Formats: sequence, C-alpha cells, structure tokens
Amino acid sequence: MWGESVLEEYSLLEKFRDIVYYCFKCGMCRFESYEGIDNGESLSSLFMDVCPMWDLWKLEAYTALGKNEICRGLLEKKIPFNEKTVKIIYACTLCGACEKQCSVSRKTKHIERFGGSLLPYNPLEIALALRLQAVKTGVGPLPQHKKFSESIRVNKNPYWEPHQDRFKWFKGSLPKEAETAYFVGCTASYRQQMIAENAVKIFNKLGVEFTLVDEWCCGSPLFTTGQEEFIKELAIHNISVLEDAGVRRLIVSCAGCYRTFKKVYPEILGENLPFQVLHMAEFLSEKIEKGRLNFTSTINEKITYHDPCHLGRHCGVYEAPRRVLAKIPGLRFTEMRRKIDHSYCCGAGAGFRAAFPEASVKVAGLRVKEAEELGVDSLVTACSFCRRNLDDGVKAVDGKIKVYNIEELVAKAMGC
Amino acid sequence: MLTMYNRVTERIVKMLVDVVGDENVHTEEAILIGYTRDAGISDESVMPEVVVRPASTQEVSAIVKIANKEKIPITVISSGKDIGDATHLPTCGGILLDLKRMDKIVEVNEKFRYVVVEPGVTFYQLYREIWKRGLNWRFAVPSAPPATTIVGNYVGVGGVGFTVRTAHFNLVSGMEIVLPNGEVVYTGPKKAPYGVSWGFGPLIDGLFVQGNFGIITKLGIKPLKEWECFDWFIYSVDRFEDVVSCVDFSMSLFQKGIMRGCYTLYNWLALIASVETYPWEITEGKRSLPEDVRRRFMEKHGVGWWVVLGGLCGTKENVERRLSLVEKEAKKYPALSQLDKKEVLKIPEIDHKLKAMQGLPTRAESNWLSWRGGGLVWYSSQPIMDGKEALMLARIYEQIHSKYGFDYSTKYVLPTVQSGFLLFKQPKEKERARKAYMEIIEKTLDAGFIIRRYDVYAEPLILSRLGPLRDVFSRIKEAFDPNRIINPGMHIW
Repeated sequence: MWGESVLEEYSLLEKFRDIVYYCFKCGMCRFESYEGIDNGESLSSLFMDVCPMWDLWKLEAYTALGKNEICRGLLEKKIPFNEKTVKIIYACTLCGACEKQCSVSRKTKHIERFGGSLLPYNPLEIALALRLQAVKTGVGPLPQHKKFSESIRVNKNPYWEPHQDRFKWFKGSLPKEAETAYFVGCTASYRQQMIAENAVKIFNKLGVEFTLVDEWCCGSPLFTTGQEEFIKELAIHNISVLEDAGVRRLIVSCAGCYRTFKKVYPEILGENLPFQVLHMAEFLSEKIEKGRLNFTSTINEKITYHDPCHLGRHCGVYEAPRRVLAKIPGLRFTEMRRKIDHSYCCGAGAGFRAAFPEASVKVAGLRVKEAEELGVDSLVTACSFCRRNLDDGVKAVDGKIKVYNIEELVAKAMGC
Repeated sequence: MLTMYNRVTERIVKMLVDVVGDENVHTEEAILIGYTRDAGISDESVMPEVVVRPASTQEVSAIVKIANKEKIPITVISSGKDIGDATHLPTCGGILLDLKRMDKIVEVNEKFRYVVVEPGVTFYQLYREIWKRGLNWRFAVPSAPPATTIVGNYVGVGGVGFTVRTAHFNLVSGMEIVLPNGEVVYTGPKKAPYGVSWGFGPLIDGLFVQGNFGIITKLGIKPLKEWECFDWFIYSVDRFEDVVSCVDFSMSLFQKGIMRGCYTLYNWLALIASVETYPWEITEGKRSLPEDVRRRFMEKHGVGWWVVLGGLCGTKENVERRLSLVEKEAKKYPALSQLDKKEVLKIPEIDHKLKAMQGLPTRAESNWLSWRGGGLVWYSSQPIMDGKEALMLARIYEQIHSKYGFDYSTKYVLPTVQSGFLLFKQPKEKERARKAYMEIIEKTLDAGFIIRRYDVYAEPLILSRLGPLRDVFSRIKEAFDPNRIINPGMHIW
C-alpha cells in the first residue's frame, strides 16, 4: 500500500548526504555536451536535449538534478516520501545520458586524485538508490512494477505468460549440452520472437552448435526498479542451468540481459561468471573479423543505428554493432546526431514503459522522428526491448521507417 | 515599508490553475524543493508554496494581477542558473514563477539584425535556431552552462561577458515588461519595439536590469558584429606581486585602443580549479594551500601566479597588426612571459574562454564548483584601473582567504569588472565561507568599490553603503510595486 514513509532514516541514501551538494544545478544533465564544436560537427545540431524526462515534462524535478534534490530533501527530512515523490522518482528510464553530460561527474570521475571526501559524483547512482530506498521504505515501487515482479516470481517472465511457452517459437531439436548457449530473454521469447528466430537461423548458418537452457527472466526489470530481493535467486538459477549445460560462452540479444549478466550478476554474487558473455553484435563482429561470416545477399537500404542505453552507455559496446552493419552489402549507413555517449533513449527501460506507457512511446516517437529526418529506410538497434518500443514509436508518429534488431538484417544478408 | 503577505490558499491555487492549467501548477514538495537551494552562502530558502509555469505574456499578466490583488509574493526565474548569487531563491514562500515554458524565439530579423526572445530561451536554443537559418551570428555570452537564459543573463545579473562587447546590456534593444499591477508595457518605439535600443524619454530599459520593478517577458538583443579572423595571446607572471604588471599592461592595451574586450586576467586557482580537485589530504581544508603545493599545481599546468588571456577579432590584417602591438607593449613589462599556446589549451578554462570570446556558450567555469565540493559565491566589483590598486585589493583578499582557510580565486574581465569567487565545500564549510565572504564585502566597500554581483546574503550590508541612491530606488519601487510582490528579498529597495 502506498502511504507516507514513517521511517526515520533512509539508510540507502545516507552515502549521498555530502555528495548531493556537489550538484549545483547547472542543468547540463539534460543537454548534449557541446564537445562537437571541437570536433567540427555541424553547428546547427549542437546542444540537443538528451533527457527524455525533460522532453516530456519540461520540469527540472524530473531530470537528474531534480532527483538529486529529492534525495537531499528526503535525507534532510524536508519532503515526505509519498506517492507523488515516488512517481517522480520512477519517471526516468535510467538511460544514463545525464551522467555523461554532468560536469561534476565528468570531472570527478577522470581526476587523478580524490583527496579526503571528494568522491566521484554519479547522478545515475542516486537515481537508482532512490528506487531501492523507496522499495525498502515500502512506498515503492509503482503498482505496475509490483505486477511484473509478481509475474516474474510466478511465471519467470514479466509478461504474465506461461513459463512453458517460453520456447514455443522454436522448432527443432538442440543438444542438452553445448559450449555455446543463447539466452533469448523474455521480450524475444514472448513479444519479439523474430529476433530469436533470426538468431537461431544465424547460428545454424554459421554451424555454431548451441543450446537453449531453462532460462528465467534475468532480473533486469527488478534491478532497475529497485526490487533487488529476488534477483539473486534468478541469477543463481540462470547461472546454474548454464553451468549444468557445460556452457562456456553465452550469447544474448537483449541489451538489458547483457548488462545484467555482465555487471549485475557479478556484483550481487561477488564473483565472476564461469562463462563468457557476449552480445549478439559482439559475437557477429568477432565472426566477421575472423572471416567466418559471409554475406551473400545485398540489402539496398539506407539505415541508422540506435544505441541501446544498457549496451552502450552502461557497458561501452558501441563499435561492434556498427562494424557488423558496415559489412552488410548494400547498406548505406548514416548516424543520428545523438549517438554513442550522447545517444537518446528509446524510452522503454527501467520500468518506465510499464508505469508510463504513453509517455514511453512518445519518447520512442521522438527518436523515430530523429531517424526519419535523415531520410533512412530503417532504424536498427540491438536490444529486444528497444526494438519493441521503437516499433510502437513508429506507429505513434505514423512513421514510415522500419525497425530491425541487428539479427534480422544479418540473417537476411546471410541468405538465411 | 513592511509588507504583510498572504498565504497561497486552495482558492488561489484554483485561480492559478484557471490561468495556466492544472499541469502547470505544482504544489508537490518533491518539485518545490528543487527551487530552494543555491551553491552560494545564503541559507536554504523556504519552499515556495506553489510553482506556476506560464507560457505567455498574457498568462504572466493574469498571474501578477492575482498576486497583486491577494498580496502574494512572486519569485521570478527564467532558468534559475544564477549560480552563487541566490537571487532565484524564494524568501517568503508565495508563488515561484518559473518562465522556462516561455521559450519562443519570437523573431529573427535578418534585415535589421536583431532577435526577440522570451525569458525561457536559452543560449543553446538561440544558437540552434540561428545556425539552422544558416546565419553566422554570434552573441555576447557568459561563461555559463548553455541552460542559462538570455534574459536571465543579459538583464538578471547585469551580464558581463567575454566578447568584444563585454557588457551585455549594450546589446539590448527593447523589452516587453509586465509591471507588478499586471499592465504590459514596451520600452521601444511602437513601430519597431525591438529594432532599436531607445524609444521615448529617458532610457527606461536600465530600470529593469538587475532589479525587481517588473517581469521582462520579451527581450530584443543584437548580435555582435561579424569578424573575419580571431587570434589570441597569453602571458603569465610568476609572483603574486606581479599583478601590478598584468593590470598595468592590460589597461594600457585598452587605453591605447589595441583591445576593446575579450580579455581575462586569472589568478592561478581560477585556472587550476577547472581541472583539479582540492588536495584535502594536505590541509584537510583547514588552512590555505602551502606555497609549494600551489607551485606544484602551477608547474603541472604550465602557468604562473597570474595569467593574462586576450582575444582579437577583426580583419586578418587588423588582428595581425594589433597582435604585434600587444607584443610590443608586453616587452615593456619584463615580468610577463608568453606561454605555449598549445600547452595551455589543455586547461579547459582557457579552451572554453577562447570560445566564449568568440560568442560560443561554454561551461568550463562550472568545473570550479568541484574544486572543493559544490560551493561558490561571487563578489564582483567595478574594475580596477591601476596595478597598484589591484595589488592592494589582491593582498586584502589573499589575507582574508588565508585567515579562513580558503584559497583566493579571481578573474578580472577587463575592462569591465573584477570577479572574485570563493570556492568552498557545501554544506560543511558554508558557515566559514560566509564569514570570509562578509569580510571580503566589507573590505571591498571600505576601499570605495561598488559591488555589482553578490550573494543576496550580503545585500543588507551592500545596500546600507549605497547612500542616497538607495532612497531613489526605494521610491521607484514604491511607484512600480507598492505591495512589494515582485522578488521580495532580492534588491530590497
């Protein structure tokens, strides 16, 4: 039940008590850094907004600096931890664009020496801590987040789909054990099955022996909404079924799953994973580099690429998908102005789509329009959840472009 | 005159909702708290009772009429980025009038070269629009984040910039103002309210600069004259006392007409703080950094105690000629040595200031705030015309900083202003910073200078030294705003 917190202390926010004052509310967290001036970029496209929450609400309370002030207000007991506060806390995709722009974060992160108590400032950490505290205090998450959390416990996926239907899309047989496993993820299993189908086609064409395991939701939606409690159980299950199958290399299509395996699991378990984790884009890039992937069909399209936040800003995978796309015959690749660190979020992540569905698709529509301005035929991404939201974004703005995940184009170009 | 204000009741909230719509009236504490803190030394303010976000002059006028009738104070902000001044903080609750939604570029007049902007238009927004139109216009800019608004900077804090036109107010050409009774007036001539800077009678625009006599809802500004070539020079001196040479050299360039603007004199910390953080392990913040530590920082970044940075705009021939005159003049001051241009560009403050001189918004100064941890407070006074006077003042400032365990940081934007800024760690060093700051203000006033940019915390002291002029302002305020509803607490005339 929602209600005002009666807890005296917010222990999960305590470590930010001094740090919140490092933010002096300059507002850079919502603008694209203008380093483009140095790089000879087109002047007309500088200083673009990068915070989707600013675009939606035009209120700083919804941007990183506003969340910082909420954190301070809670710590200093100046504001109540109530329904209204919680709603603002969850009005964010945790895309991390703010962190890349924030001058304090940039300076304190790269400085050689931190003396005394001047610690690195990271607005993203504060935003996540607010969610963890909201859950711990009992005022969060939002009802929609509780709903998908319950489904994950019951069905091992957030979509209230039966667990036994997870691989319904798959026709054929697989070995029980293999060095390579494909982690399909909930979205590609139930909502974006073309991604999984094409991934399998690619493996088969390349002659990669792989297996599917009894995967459960990776826990990414729980992690980003501050519902940490069940993640460890999910991690232990997923890792053990992969270990049991003798897996040495795990390939994922979803950027959220990728980040969870790469960063969240090792952190919560306190140890490295017993297998390598690759995003499909990295796997394909490696194959191309080693000359083991040949494209046989030409795709005559002008495309652009959308960096998924979990893959790009959070894990630093920017080049691999671009290298793959660059090799596909016939593709004419062009970049959107907001890319790499300064990429614009699709609007789906961190429970935002679940709790604010219309706003989420509105953000996707903004991204679609940005792509359309380039005159492209299609927008390619490397995340099941981004693909889904961008697809909805195209419909919302009555757009003409197609949305692909990277597997779809690669499979097509391989003649699968 | 003491004004008793009324509280914002549900009835008043409903009236405000009727003007701007439910989605633009906010009473949630999680939103209100964002309007209560500044990086300076002022206390955290009381929360506004309501945040209202109008989108047009008519809406502003309607809100002001309500507030005036109901005796509700209004704190007005455009973007609220006057970091270190606290002028955007509400002091009596009431209405926080957030003008960010008024973000239309109303007119770009290519023929007569001016633009008209609403108060929510930021520098970044203006540049995008100008460049989208293929115009190579440049504007006088501050060294502040691109989120800063033009109205806030040109008239809110008086606007001192780094281009050839150092005082931004010189480029203002007409205003639309909502007076405290809700009436809308224009300062320009009716036929072309924003095409020229002066209409009828006394120049009235100045009354609305750095004041609280009305709310500017549109502002005309002119771009800088275009130039063909930009080049720059940089000199440094080793000793603290050599500020005499720096100032005398600089002022001679202005007096001889070699320079007109684009000129900044830094002390070492104003440069170093943009790229380093304070070495707490050495002094724990309790005393100024020892000379050897300061020297290590200076050597690491290849600068001396004072650094002179100047930019020249014009035709190629003109810039070359003036640059050679600068070099000739510099030879008269043996303490000055030229720095390696390529090397100093690694210091963000230099790189960004050169952009600001060319009219590009920058943010390097923001980096200063993470020197000690989030605290900065300005004390800008009228310019120093003479090296000896500069040394006298620098000694006073250095002494006060040292007494309170801080390090003196300053930049002089010549020939307009000297801008000192005290850097401290929020909130732990705030009380100490406050004591140091007040002593700085007092000594500056004692020395006969006028402080033109300050934290409102020091305002009672500054106003008490203003003399008869204060009474003049008070009478004007009474005439414009008898209920004292606009920005109480800031410029209490």
